Amino acid sequence: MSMENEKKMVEDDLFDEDSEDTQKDKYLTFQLGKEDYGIEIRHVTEIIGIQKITEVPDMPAFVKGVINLRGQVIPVMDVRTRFQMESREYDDRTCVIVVRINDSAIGLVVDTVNEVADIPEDSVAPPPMVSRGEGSRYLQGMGKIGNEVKILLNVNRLLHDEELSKITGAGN
Amino acid sequence: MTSDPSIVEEFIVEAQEHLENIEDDFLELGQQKESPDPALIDKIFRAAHSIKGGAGFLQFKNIGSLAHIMETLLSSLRSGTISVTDEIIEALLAGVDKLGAMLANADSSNDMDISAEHGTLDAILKGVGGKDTADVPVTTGEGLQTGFEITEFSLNNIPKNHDFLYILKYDLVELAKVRGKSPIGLIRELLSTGEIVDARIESAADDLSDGVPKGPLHYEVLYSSLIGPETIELAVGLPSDKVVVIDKSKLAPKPREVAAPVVEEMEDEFQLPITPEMIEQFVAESDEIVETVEQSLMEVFENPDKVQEGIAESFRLIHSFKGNCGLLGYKGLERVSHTMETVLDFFKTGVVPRREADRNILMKGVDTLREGVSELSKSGKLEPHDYSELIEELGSLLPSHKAAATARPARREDTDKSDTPKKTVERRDLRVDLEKLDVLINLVGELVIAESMTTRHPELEGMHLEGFDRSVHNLRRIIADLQDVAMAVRMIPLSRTFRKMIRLVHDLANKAGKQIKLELVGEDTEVDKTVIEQINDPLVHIIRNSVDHGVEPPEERIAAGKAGQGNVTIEAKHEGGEVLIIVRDDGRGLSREKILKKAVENGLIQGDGANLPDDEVFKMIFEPGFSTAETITDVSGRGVGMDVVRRNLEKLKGRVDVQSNFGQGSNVVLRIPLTLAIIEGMLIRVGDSRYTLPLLSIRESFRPEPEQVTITMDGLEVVRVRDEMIPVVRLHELYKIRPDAVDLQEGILVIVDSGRKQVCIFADEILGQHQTVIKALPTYLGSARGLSGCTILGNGEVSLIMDVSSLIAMAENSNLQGGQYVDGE
Repeated sequence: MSMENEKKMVEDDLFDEDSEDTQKDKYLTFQLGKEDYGIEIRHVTEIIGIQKITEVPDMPAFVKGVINLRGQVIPVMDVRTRFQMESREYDDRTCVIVVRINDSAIGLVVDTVNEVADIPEDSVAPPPMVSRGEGSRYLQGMGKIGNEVKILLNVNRLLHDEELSKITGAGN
Repeated sequence: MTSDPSIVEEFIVEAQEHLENIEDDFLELGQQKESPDPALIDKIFRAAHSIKGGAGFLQFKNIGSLAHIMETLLSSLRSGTISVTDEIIEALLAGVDKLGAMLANADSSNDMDISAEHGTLDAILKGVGGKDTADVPVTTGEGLQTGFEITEFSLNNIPKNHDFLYILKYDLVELAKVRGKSPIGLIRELLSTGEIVDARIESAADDLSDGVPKGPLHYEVLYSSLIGPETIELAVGLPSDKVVVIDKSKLAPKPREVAAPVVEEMEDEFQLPITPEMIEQFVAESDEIVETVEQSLMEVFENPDKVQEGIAESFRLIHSFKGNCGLLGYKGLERVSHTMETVLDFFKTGVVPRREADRNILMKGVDTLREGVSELSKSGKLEPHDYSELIEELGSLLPSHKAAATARPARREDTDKSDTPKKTVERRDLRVDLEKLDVLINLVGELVIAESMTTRHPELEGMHLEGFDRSVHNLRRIIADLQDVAMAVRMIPLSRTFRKMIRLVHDLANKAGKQIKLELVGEDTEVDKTVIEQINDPLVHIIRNSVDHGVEPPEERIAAGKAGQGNVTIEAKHEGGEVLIIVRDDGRGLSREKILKKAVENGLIQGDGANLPDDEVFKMIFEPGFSTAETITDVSGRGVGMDVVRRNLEKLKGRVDVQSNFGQGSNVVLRIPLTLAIIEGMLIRVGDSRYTLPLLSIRESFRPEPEQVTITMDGLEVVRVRDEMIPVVRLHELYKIRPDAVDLQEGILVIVDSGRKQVCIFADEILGQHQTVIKALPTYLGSARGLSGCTILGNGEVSLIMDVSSLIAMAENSNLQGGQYVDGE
């Protein structure tokens, strides 16, 4: 019975995607190296396994190329490279999180996807004041679940704070 | 010829569409009683007029007569002799209903009773002293009766720019049999360059629905057009003895119109006659322009983010305003707006600080324009004003040498009207939102991919399935047909676009005092709808250039040993997967020296450019702000036009080439892909990457012998193929990928060309040919070098489509830079 209920709840969540309330405070968490990260669920449209990526020349290093998402060609970004972390071979746990912002879909390559977590506002601490470099620009806050800490990312910035990177990319 | 029932059917469908279109308009009209929108009335008027015309043609007397009286009433509304009341709207709507009912039963429409509707409308007209009673007989230049009688209203309703009136005598039977043109086609064609004021048909059989008579079927059209007598034969496709020119001035019946030409200074010999409608329209348009200019200029000073945007916007608007002033002969306002335009143009370069004082002066200019317009709307004319003080103030915003240019008022006038076609000829076709069509075409594209993913599914490999293969074959054929049909839906002939140019050339030539013969070749060439939309502006600019700068005035031509009359040809043809549109003139050609001099001044090139090939030099005219014209007039000279050409062509993935012989004329060649959606592609492989090359740009592929390859001291590899030396582009180096083959002898070279230029693309192997749906690269990625888009392969992978012309340009540029670098040393 509890299984039944749980399933139903999950379905409800899926069906109510548009409603602000059900999506509030919900984060999709994923892993990069040892740390857990989270992005707001409302941006996420689907999660797919890694597939053949077609490289596109002249792109910043974190743009891995494009993939075919059921007839739609979407760019994919390697989040590790975006954060200037050491890159790692893709394996069968590697996932592409498809997010949609401003009507354009983009795939984010992450080590693996964990779960959808509920992190209420009062459990989210502001980002640390000390900046240690590249990654901190994408920080939205630090989410606390029990003893664990999830690094919450600002998807918009992750995707569109690209002017700077484009310029540096072009300069190279 | 199409059978008669189909003509009737076409008429009915078209008429019904008109009725549907205007029904809502009536309701809207009823709401804006006091100040009805003239455009709205015009639209309704035109619909009623078309219905009347068609009904007359097909002998539907009742429909024609009801439409006629509605038309009459509408023109009274339009001229303001009657104001809109509920009663009128009711009566007109009743008329519309009746027309609808009659159309539904067109065959018996002549037996239906229209007296109630007709009577009501008639009463309204009589009640207000409907002025539409006196018909004016139309006579030829020699005063001969033509049998046509037109009303004053019809006369007033001839569009203001239609200076010419003709009677055209067609024989519909001959037209259909010899030239395969249907009457509807003819009418549509005529409507693209003018308006049918009246028409009548003479035939032994008085009812066309009985079938086309055997003998000649005379169809006489009273036709108003903007095309002058010199070119009218070309435009209407009739020999000169079938075209009678009517002296329009003899038709002007009442003094009301004589009072019309209100011209501030009558010094311009090219002045057009001005009607009250023209002034009315000018006032309406200008009001809006002045308001918007004011807003954007305020924005410029208030909002630093919007500076460039605001200035560009005001510049454009003021430019149109100036054009209109020039056309109507308002010299004072024209001079003010010209100066403002010059100032704004200068601001565009970002040099002048935008101080409060500047704002005040500009606003003074705006206010002056507004005063002028409001004076015009009150009294219908303009008193001469002294604007010199204002012009001087405006001029003070410029660095002194620029001020000189502003003092020279524009001599020639061009109204940007050709850019904004006023009337849209209603078509009978089913109109579909382009987006829906695109969705359809996309889906067909998906279907093509899905088909090959299914039929070439790896799990089927090695199985012998005879029946299945037959079904697959069938499926493929249907899908291919479907794809063809879907593509054809978007294809439209270029003729309408071309025909608009007749007007343009005529106007420009007249105003510049030049004689120009325009020839149109290949108007029937069909291109994608998007292409049609984007090609109009570039064509206008190129032709403007040809007429204004290219073709010389008659004296100069004769002195140069040419005929006094210049020739401009616009030609369209298919070549491979491209459409070529060529604008050719036999004028003075481009001056290499002048262009180079300007290019050096503008810092476009280093050194004196003496080594540059001609086509490189001529290409510079497409740089923004590039103009060699010594004086800025309003027709051209600011260097905006050619930039528009280039940008629009880029949008179409086309390109433009200029060939010119100094003294002998120039050719501007626009190359545009036939369609923007599907290409035949050749799949090549470099390492793990698969690229698609447009099949049409591929010349040949081969594996070179060592002795064919030469390496220059710059490290550039050149392959000799027969007599040509072709540079090699190594894709793996360009895109930094790991190839299987590094040695040219181990891979394969594919020669691709674009225009007259060729390069060899070096790849590991050729995988084969496939038809593919072009998809844009995600906008998120911005643009990548040498790529025009991407496509999905049969196995679901994405392949990038190479843009051959930009590849060639890249190959060339790196050479060019190398060369300059050596120069610099």
